[in-house]
Amino acid sequence: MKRLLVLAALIVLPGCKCKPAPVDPPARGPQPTEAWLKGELPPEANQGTPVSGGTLTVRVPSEPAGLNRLHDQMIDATMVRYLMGPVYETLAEVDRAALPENGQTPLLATSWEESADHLTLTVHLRKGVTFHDGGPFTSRDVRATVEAVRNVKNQTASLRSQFVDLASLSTPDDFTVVARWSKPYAYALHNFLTSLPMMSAASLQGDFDTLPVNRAPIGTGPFRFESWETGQKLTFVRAPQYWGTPAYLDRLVMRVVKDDTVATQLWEQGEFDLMTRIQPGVWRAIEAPVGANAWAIEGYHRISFLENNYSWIGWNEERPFFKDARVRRALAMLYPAAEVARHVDLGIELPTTCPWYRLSASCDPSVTPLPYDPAGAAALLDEAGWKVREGDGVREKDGVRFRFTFLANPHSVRLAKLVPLLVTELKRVGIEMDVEKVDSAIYLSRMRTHDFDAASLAWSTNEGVRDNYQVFHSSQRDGGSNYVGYASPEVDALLEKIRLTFDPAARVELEREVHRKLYADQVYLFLTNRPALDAAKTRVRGLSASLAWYDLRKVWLAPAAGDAGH
Amino acid sequence: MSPWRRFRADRRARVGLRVLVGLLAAAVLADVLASELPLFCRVGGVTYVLPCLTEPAALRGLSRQALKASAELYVPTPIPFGPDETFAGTKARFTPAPWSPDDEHLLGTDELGRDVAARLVHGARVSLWVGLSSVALNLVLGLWLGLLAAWRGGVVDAVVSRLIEVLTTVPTLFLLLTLIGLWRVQGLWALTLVLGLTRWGELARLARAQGLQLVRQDFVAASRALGAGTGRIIARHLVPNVLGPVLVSAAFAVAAAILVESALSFLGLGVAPPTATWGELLTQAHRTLTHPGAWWLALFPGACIALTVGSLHLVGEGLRRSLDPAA
Repeated sequence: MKRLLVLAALIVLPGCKCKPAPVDPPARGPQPTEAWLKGELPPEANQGTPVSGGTLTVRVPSEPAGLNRLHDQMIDATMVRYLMGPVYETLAEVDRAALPENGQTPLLATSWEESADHLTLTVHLRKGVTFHDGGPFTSRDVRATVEAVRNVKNQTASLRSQFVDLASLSTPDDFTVVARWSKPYAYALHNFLTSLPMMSAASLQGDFDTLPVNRAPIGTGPFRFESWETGQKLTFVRAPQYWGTPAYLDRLVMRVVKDDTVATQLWEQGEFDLMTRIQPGVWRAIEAPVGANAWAIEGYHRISFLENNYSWIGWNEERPFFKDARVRRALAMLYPAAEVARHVDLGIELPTTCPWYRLSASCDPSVTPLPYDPAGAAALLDEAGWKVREGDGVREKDGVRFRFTFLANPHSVRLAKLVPLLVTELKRVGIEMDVEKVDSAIYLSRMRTHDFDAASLAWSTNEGVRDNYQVFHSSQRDGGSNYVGYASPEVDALLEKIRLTFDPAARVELEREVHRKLYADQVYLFLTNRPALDAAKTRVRGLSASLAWYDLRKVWLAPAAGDAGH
Repeated sequence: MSPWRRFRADRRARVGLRVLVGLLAAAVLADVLASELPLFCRVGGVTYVLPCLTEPAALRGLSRQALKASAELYVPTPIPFGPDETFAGTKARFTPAPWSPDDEHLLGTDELGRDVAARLVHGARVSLWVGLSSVALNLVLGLWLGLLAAWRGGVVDAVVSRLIEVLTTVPTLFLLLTLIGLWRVQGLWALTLVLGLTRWGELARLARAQGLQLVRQDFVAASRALGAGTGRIIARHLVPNVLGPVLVSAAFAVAAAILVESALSFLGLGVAPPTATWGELLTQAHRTLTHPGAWWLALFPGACIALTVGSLHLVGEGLRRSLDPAA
């Protein structure tokens, strides 16, 4: 028996560094600075004269199916986003300094004019730009890129939705492109200029799903693709023929480490110059001023910044329980926000009520979140006709029991913690919630086909603006992203009007009204905004976090001798 | 010496069996061992016996503190927490959960402040249920099909043998992941059924091999001459004679099924939350192992799995030795 226990311990031990957490943390140890705790880069992180050279190793938490930024199956991976700018370039880019406002700075286009009726856009292209394969960049490549997106045979639906109203695209000469729209759209210019990575016409020929550029991208940016070891890393090197200011780094290495625990261990061993997506528990654990945390406190700058994302729980409005907005309001009042903030989010995520960027003007500050109030929720449920039945204590209405299934994605750490809390809260007022876990791919397809009762997801974008038409307009129930089946004529009209409003200030007013209505209807149980939690070695300079992520073109490495730490 | 006496004389097998019986008892008595409701209590002159089992409506909705305060008599369960009770302790704690073992939570808590000991005891139910009942189904199918093949031979034998080959080449974990994706196979029953219906190949192969030796023996021929049918011959003559070796294999199969369930829960696709399982605790351990270093989330469920699997192996080994006619 004793031998068996030892055996059991041996089986378990190799997997863990079983150092017990110190009971009384000795106060002596490196003290993190205020900026470090907040995740702000100290001023010295961006001082000094940039020098060329060196390799930047970045942790990427997911591996894309491919690197073709146009392809539906390859666009949502984080890495592809990192490569917009360094590898692929757009006609113009979102002004990183001015986010969340919607300005554009020229990149592959030098200038553009829009007609007074907002229906014609003339773009003048930069001359002397070459692709990484040596070919010149001309209007033919713009046309090929747009055509690849517009081709219904290609899997480009998510970008294509932005170009359905494009009536024609003409190329009067090699360096001019004229786009004509069949109807005005407030974000048409912005989308055309900033969302399409320019790919060479030659590289887009062939079967779109198996293009060589899906594995080895050819762009015009300051970094050129070198190699991709599947499951391991991607390497990019400085492109010699780049038209603009060359990048400082010799080499960019994107290390693919999906497992967060493994990534944390590699990070602790110093494998990453830029660590991304630090888990909240780790973020908090390394704050203790103890010797065991010295590597993080002294060796890295922590970076936390607000991304444009929000998480939500959606109630499928086709289900009898969730039709009534009163029920959805009651569910919001059963959400133990304070407990979740303290124990699940560890005080890192920010509760929200709004489908727009937190720091933008589009969120109405007068919207106050519904309070956690189980008694009030029970009264609302009674009022909506869901009465507690004698016996088992489960609510029912017209013979329908209030019992539903929460569809959960097993990879979400946050849901794994949140769901049990929710089950308990709902049970107390007589609602039975079962949980079903399915893998990510099935999860999304079931949401698209409205084959769920309740589910949770987060919307995120790297821009400051967001056209919520696709998410909340009743026409977007089939084929769009209105998974919960929300249909409100008022909100429909507002969303349509936003698309035709070219004055940003007027648009903000409409967006605030949509915010108020959506929250009153509890279209979602709005949860939180999740800030990015990253860390960079102190010698990494020129990092500036923005919605469009770090600008790797401007990053440089301080020479080891001049590295004073912080 | 009879096999049973040989088994009892085997010290290691005895230890394995005791551990197993202990675990089984813990699983059966989980509600009495760990519950938010007490073993006995008297509230307002009314005495409740084992409210942790009966969950009387009068006590529903009362918090533990309120109940404790108003009760004249209060005898808590040995582990005074239910498996799904979150942040149930009364001690003031300043770091976020998971909390390390202390005098309130003897084996610590998980990330939601749930008592690890309570979750282990209730998790034993899932593990043992899946292991034992799926293998019971394996045994029924494996014995019958294996012996039928041995007895009938010819086409029946060929069909069963091919079926066994196909089944034993499909990796169970991937089969389960596929079924979860396609047909929403989830939950305790579905899991048990799938394991029960797909993992009988090895047992059937063994039963068939043993059966082939038996069918040529005189007592089988005699019984056939007396007019006994296939069912009777298999049930009365073949099953008792192959049961021994097949049971040895079944003991190992239980261990393997428990590991499959744990692996599936570890991947987040096992029995749906908030049901406590050992594998689910290990998932949390995986997340929290380095920061904040929650070793107790790995050690205790890991030890439970190792203990169960280890003792099943001891029992299996003991069975093999005691049934071995050469011994």
